[in-house]
Amino acid sequence: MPSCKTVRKRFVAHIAGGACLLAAIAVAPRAHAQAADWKPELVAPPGNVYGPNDPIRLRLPPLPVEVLRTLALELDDFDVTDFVSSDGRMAVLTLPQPLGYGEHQLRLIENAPDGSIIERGAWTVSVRKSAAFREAELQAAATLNAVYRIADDDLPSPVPKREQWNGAAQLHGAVADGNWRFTGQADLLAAGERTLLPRGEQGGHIDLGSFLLGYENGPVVARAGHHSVGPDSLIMSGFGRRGVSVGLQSARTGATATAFSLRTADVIGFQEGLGIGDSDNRTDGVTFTFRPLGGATDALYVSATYLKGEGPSQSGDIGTGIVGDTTVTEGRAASVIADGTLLERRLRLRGEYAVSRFDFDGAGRDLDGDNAIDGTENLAPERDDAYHALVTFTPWHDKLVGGRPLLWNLGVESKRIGTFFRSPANPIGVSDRELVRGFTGVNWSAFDAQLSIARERDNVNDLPSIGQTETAQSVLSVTYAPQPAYEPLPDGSLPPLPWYGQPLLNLSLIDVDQDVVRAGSGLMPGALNKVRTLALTASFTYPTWSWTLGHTIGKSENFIGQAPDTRTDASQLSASFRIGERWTLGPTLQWSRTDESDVPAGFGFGPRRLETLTAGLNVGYFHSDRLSATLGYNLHRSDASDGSQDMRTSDLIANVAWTVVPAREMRPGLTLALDGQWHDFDERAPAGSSSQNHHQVFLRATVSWLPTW
Amino acid sequence: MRRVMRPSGIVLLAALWAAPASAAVTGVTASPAAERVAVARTTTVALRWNVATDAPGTVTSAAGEFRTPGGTLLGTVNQPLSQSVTGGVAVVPETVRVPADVVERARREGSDRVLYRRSFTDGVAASGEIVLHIAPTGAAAFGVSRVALAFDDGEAVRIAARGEKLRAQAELSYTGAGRLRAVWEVAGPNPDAERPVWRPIGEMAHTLSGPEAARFASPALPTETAGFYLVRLRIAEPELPFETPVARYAVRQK
Repeated sequence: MPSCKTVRKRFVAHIAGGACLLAAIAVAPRAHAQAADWKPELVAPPGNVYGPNDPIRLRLPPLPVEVLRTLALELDDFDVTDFVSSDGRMAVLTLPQPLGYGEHQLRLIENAPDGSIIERGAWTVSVRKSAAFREAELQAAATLNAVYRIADDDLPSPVPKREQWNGAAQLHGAVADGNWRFTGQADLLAAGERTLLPRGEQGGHIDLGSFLLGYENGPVVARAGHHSVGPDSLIMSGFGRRGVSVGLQSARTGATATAFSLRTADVIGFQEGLGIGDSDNRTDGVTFTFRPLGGATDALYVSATYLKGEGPSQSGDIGTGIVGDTTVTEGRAASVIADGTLLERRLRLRGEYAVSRFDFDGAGRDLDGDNAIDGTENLAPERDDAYHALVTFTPWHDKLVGGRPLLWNLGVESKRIGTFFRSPANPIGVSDRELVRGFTGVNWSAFDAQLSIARERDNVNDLPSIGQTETAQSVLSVTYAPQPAYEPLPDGSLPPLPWYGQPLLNLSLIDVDQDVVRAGSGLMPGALNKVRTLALTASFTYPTWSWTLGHTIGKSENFIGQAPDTRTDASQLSASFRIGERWTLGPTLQWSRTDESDVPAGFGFGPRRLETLTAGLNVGYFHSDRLSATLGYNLHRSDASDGSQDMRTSDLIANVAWTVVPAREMRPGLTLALDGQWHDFDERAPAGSSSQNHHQVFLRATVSWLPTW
Repeated sequence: MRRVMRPSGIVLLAALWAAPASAAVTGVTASPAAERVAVARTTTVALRWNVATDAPGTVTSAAGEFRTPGGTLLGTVNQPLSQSVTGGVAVVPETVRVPADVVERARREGSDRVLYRRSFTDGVAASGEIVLHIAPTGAAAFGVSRVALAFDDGEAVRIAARGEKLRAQAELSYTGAGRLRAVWEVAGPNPDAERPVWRPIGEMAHTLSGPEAARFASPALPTETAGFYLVRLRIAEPELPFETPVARYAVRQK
């Protein structure tokens, strides 16, 4: 008779191995159940609700030990027999990890002596938070800092208040039952000084960062808060904004349809609700995606998007970190994308076509100051279009050269973007371009090389009074990153790294030539700009430390007296050390020198040399989980040979933190800390000199709380 | 009383007559005299007004105007400027944003250029102008027209756990080609809300050209100490027509 382990291996797909614990069930029945007809019984949990950590109990009839040895228990097709213990006549399944909320399939099988499998019982176990909700959870990670300045010297007036406070909280919650699930997350910030918060005096002492509410119910997906919608396209890219979207998705075909309404200029804080209340600052649209050749294949993917928007599309509200042109514009745009693969995914074809109708001044600009937009003060919208085509080809997927895989791909792309093509949902979208680019990449062994050659023209063919430029750009990147041997030595240990550690070397070269090819207002044919950049980087990693060295040489020439010619040499060195179990060390050094020559008349300065130096050193000491100290020093110098700038800044930051009570589950934690800052600034410039030298020391009490309900 | 008052009255009248004659802006020139602005894109142009005057004092300008060579008003810049006079000349720097619709308005008027004009006065006014040729985006004046600062989640506000690896990212939109010099700076923990003390943590020097947009990641931001922090990319070159945006992050105790 095979061992029960052998039998189980024969029938269970995911066997973790281990003893046949079912055989340990302490039953020594006098009258065994008939082998052919016995049935186990799933014991109802207390309150008829299984929690994630609740044991699952099966009541078995009296069985001979020979039968018990052949039993196996599966949960969601995984063999969990090793986690079964006995409790009288009960088989008790206690998993090492909590079970996820939702339904789980439990099965008890018997491996019969003839090799067949007898299913003795199958149940659906529903793990729930409560009888009302399958899932209900709220998590918070909150910190409140009370800070008191105990010492200072020479702080600039007006001196800030000695006592300050600030805090932050991350909230996350989920409720679910049946087919529906509701989730929510929000970041909250708080400060005694409101100017520290994103909206400054406009907001309160507690303000809202980003938030997102989500609702799913079968095919319906709805979101409200900060999010982005749909695939990246020529008309919508990097457009994460506060707003609302509602979509339908088909699990069978993979098709989706989503309608959205997002605020054009991003917003932050407890204001503007869901971000869709202001029709003068809103982008509405709909996007569809589907797979015409079937939901399970990526052979062809099609998406279509239409949107219209109004508002300052190039800027954001205060505190959003976005600043730019605040002109209110209006626009509509539509895009269709088809993306497919052929030849066993070796050939990829992607095409996109987009149209736009953009009004550069929105409702108009009041030029005569009569507080009304007259007919001549409102520009009519401009229509334009754009396309992008991309072909990539990978000749093989499994080629071996010298026993190592050789990957090679090549491709070509063509892009034409109209002079007036613009979308309110693509704030960084380029316009006015005709591009053809070819590229190839090779990866073999430790080598990786990428080459790209592009030629680009301004797309101003229909505007003869405007000059036209052509740009040739070449980019080469070569990387060498040998992997260490992972074959263990005879004693089982890994071989030591060579003296140079695990290296990564990179060389990149960028060459850009821009010429005027058609004369226009203020432009004559001929060379315009030439830019060349060579960068070398080497990094070396060891088990407990690493270091990186880089050097960049950049040359820029302007041939029409628009800007000085420059040559920049920049070096950087950084390292990270772990010394023993307690110390960390992180030095950094950046140095750059720029020579400016052929300075055009009227720039207010002549040929000169600019030099900058940034150096830093961070030291960490971790005495224990509860006691740690950090020290950081930064030095920055900036000088110009003509005396137009001479600035140096030194900063020292020190911190000692003692966790008096660590935060555990519902119990808040308390940390006491001493924070010190020293700042020295000195600037000498022709317009005048200024200097600062001050320090301050804070005593800080931090209460942290990480509850979960 | 009359004998005392009469000479004072004469002095006052003389002073009133003399004032306009002794303080007059005699000429205004722009440097550079001409630049290029992008068609259908907002362009930032940095220039200096050289204001010649025959008396010490301060010259002021209330606003600037965009006009076609034919004199059609295209837009205004309601940003007052003032500068004290040194050696008979006041050099007034200005970084002006030329909106896309101003350029488009000029183009539809049949013009291939925009004139940006300012009037300066210290009693008597004179005006000067810079010629802004309409050009394709790649050949326009080098200037940054938009900066978006965010963390890895795309927002300018972030809460990080103590010790978490954190970087900020700056997305720049620009026209033309030229050199970018910038410094990543951090203030905190516990920064002075009114006058944060910025400390440099990394610098950048790149020549930008071509794609009109570039993204730069900051060095690793300090997260060893719990508290509130501010981070920014201070752009030293080219000059910006707006204040550098600030992103905020809070480091929470684990």
